[in-house]
Amino acid sequence: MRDRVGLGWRPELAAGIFDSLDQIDVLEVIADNYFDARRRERQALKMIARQVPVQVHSIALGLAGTEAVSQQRLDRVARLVNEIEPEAWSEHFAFTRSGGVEIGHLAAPPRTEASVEAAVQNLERASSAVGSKPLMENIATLIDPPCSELSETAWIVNIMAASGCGLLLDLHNLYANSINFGFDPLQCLANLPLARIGGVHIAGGQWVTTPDGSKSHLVDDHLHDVSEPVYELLRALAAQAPNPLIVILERDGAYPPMPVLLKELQCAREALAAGRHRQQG
Amino acid sequence: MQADVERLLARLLTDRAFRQRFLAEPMRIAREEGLSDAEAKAAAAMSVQDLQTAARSYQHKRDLKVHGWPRGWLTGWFKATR
Repeated sequence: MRDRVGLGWRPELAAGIFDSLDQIDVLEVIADNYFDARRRERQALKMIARQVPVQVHSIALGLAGTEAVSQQRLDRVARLVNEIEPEAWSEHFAFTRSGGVEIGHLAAPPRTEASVEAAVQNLERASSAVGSKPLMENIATLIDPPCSELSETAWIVNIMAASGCGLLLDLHNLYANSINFGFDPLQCLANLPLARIGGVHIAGGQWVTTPDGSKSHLVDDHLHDVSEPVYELLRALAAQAPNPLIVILERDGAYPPMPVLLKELQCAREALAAGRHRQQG
Repeated sequence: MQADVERLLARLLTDRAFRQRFLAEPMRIAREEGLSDAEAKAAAAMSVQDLQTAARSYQHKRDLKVHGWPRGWLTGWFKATR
């Protein structure tokens, strides 16, 4: 097995992706976009999956929340996974709803033993419904969740240990959190179980400043090019990870011409190669 | 309890009026939401700037989702694969 590099499937990029399949090893599909899709669209997705290895990425189960994950939502993911037969499926270390409030995006819960236990229970339900364990992705957060007792790394490691799930390591999320909360991302890498990384995300973000100009945050928006610090983290990861890595470039809008995205994939390949070279040396 | 803190965070990230009430009187609002004194104190210590930036970011992401998929992508895809 070798390291592979691919792209998040987005309808806006369809033509460019199909013109460039010789440069794309794997595609990642957002599960939630297909739950209410017409039959033709699901059939098209099945055709894609026959041509390119596909991973399914779910974004709204809220598996790290204390609320029990909805069986109906799990059934929809299970149906899609059953239809598409992806290499793997994934979700997030996040909650997305609480007490009847839909947040509409991924949110970081307080990192406590209670949330570790709740996440493990939800992951058991998810694994049972879908038929396989998801890879779990670290998220970017702009709020340090109040009442947290564990570092993000310790919290993730504890959930992984108790659930047996693998890690989908988002390097831009790691980088953004390290900037916004002032920690060393390389130290985090050293503390993660790198042998259990099943996938890697890279993406870009944007600096935003508070209206009074007193503070800046790096926001993970998937609307900008991958920055050099993220490639450097990828190099560092490839220098340490014992298993082949699957790197997915996420882009959710402000799409540049396809050659720009292909150049980013090439940069990722070069970062992986440089890291592997470091590992061998 | 963990669930109370999660519900408070969910409301702060989605409900502007609630967020403004919280920022004006964080301890009282947190207690009203069922948080213990220690939890309310931790919630009240959250960075106002972080919370406001996060709320704007979440609103932006929710707005992006409203647009949904571009129509005609399937047609474009079939053309591309012919």
